[in-house]
Amino acid sequence: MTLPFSGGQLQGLDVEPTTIRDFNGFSAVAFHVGTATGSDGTRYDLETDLRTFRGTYIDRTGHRRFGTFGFI
Amino acid sequence: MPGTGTPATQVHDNNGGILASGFFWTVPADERNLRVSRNGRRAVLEMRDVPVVDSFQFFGPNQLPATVSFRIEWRATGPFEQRGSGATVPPEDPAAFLGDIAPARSTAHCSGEEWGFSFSSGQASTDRGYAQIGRSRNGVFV
Repeated sequence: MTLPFSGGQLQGLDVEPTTIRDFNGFSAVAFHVGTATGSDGTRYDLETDLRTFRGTYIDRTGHRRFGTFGFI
Repeated sequence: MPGTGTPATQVHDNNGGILASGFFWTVPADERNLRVSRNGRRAVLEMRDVPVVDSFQFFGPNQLPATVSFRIEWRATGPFEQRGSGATVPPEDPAAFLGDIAPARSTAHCSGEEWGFSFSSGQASTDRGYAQIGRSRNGVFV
């Protein structure tokens, strides 16, 4: 599937959904399409790549941590 | 987030930037920002005044500090299915994970502010996009 404005190719269900290596937990991914109104009065096309992750991960120092994240 | 037409005519690109921690476009959230249903088929992420940058175009060289706020809802539309190839592919392969993932529908309301400009979206949806929800693991957890 291709996004209508940017032409970006959308990932499928077999593509890593997170951006955190050594991660184990919940993830949700969304590529939205819509419109936005700017303070200049212009109506803009809107596309998003918004995600969220919650789970256990290994940080750069090798420590196991638990966290919640947004991907913007 | 808002843009017009192809990347060449994109006018704003709000993203989380790259943090000192090494996370890119990935910003820490408070546990209260994300609510996930007990069966994992519905989730709501709500964040306010998140510091981001506007790089104006995808990977654009110029960055302006900005903030965004949004409420996103996901609802699974199909069953969870096992996805990914785990350790059977190289770690850099996009399929180097294992997960139970369901297709989903998502809606979002977004707004943002930066010097000299602000925007507010209507209800955006994944009806012409894509959404998924589930659990996944990678790296040492595979």
